[in-house]
Amino acid sequence: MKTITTIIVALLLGLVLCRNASAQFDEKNVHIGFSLPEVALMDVEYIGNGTIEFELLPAAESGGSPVIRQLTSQEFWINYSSALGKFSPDRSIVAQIAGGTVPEGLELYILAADYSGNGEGKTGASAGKVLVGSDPRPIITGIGSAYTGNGIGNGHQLNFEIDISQMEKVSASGSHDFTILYTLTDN
Amino acid sequence: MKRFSFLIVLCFFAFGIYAQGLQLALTGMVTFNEVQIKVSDPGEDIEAVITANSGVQLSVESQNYWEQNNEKWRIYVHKTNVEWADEIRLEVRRQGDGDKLNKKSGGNVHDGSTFAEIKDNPTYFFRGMGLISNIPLDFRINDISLSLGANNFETDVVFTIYDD
Repeated sequence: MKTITTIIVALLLGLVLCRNASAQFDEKNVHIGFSLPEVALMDVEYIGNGTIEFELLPAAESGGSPVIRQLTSQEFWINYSSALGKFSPDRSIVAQIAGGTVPEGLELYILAADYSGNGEGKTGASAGKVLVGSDPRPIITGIGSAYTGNGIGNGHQLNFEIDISQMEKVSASGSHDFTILYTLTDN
Repeated sequence: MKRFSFLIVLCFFAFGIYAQGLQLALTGMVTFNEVQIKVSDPGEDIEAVITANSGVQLSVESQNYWEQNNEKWRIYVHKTNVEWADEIRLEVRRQGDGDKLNKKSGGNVHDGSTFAEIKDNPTYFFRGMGLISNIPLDFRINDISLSLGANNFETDVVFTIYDD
């Protein structure tokens, strides 16, 4: 009889203690997922009409080489937003002459400066001074998942230069217009 | 002797009832608006805060009528990541009080009405009393950026109910 009483008391005590202790009752879960898509967007920001003008002047003294002068001093900045997949290779920005031709005896160079701005992530690196022709050539390489910030002062500033490559082919042939095309491309 | 046997059976019955405890039920899905995950202009980042179109509702239930009376409880929340990034902050809030099943004897809910981060370890979310159904929940994502790269991010949000 005594044993039975002890068991009952123990059970009731356990019951009371169980009520007072903090016990987990149940748990449920909900699945949450979202996709961050691949992004590849680029543009060129500038103040003005987006045109650069150069002038080829005769040498100041006889026997001297002609002088090339940049008439406009506009700022050009490349902005981009890029999101790459886990195993995707880095991206590049290539430049090429897409319309018109550079006059004979002259060469066009582009130098994209190193990144500066309000962006974040793996921004690209300058490929240095690049001779631009009709075939696309990288001017910025190693672009990962990053954004540069938008507008002047964000991204990579572009500098243009025209050099005389073959003096004997340079001629006074009037004005020449050509268009440069930039492309953000997967490597 | 018969009386003692009856008491023993009664005790086991009582234990059985308490062991059942309160139960949680979750209904609905969480979806994020794809339109929000876009870049407005080259050079820009994506919008850092994205709010879900959440239809998730949480209910506190029980098969035991006794527990409808004055049972106080607390909800804790944490996440178990499938594919996630440390930079991304997932937040949840309670959008309403739900439907009170027994207004006279409880059904109150407190706290959890402002967005709070869901961490990897259980943290207190909100508390209440009695059985309540259809408590609406709202989720949002903070600090997402293009710099995280393109990926499918997934996590399971776990709600746990404890007696208070």
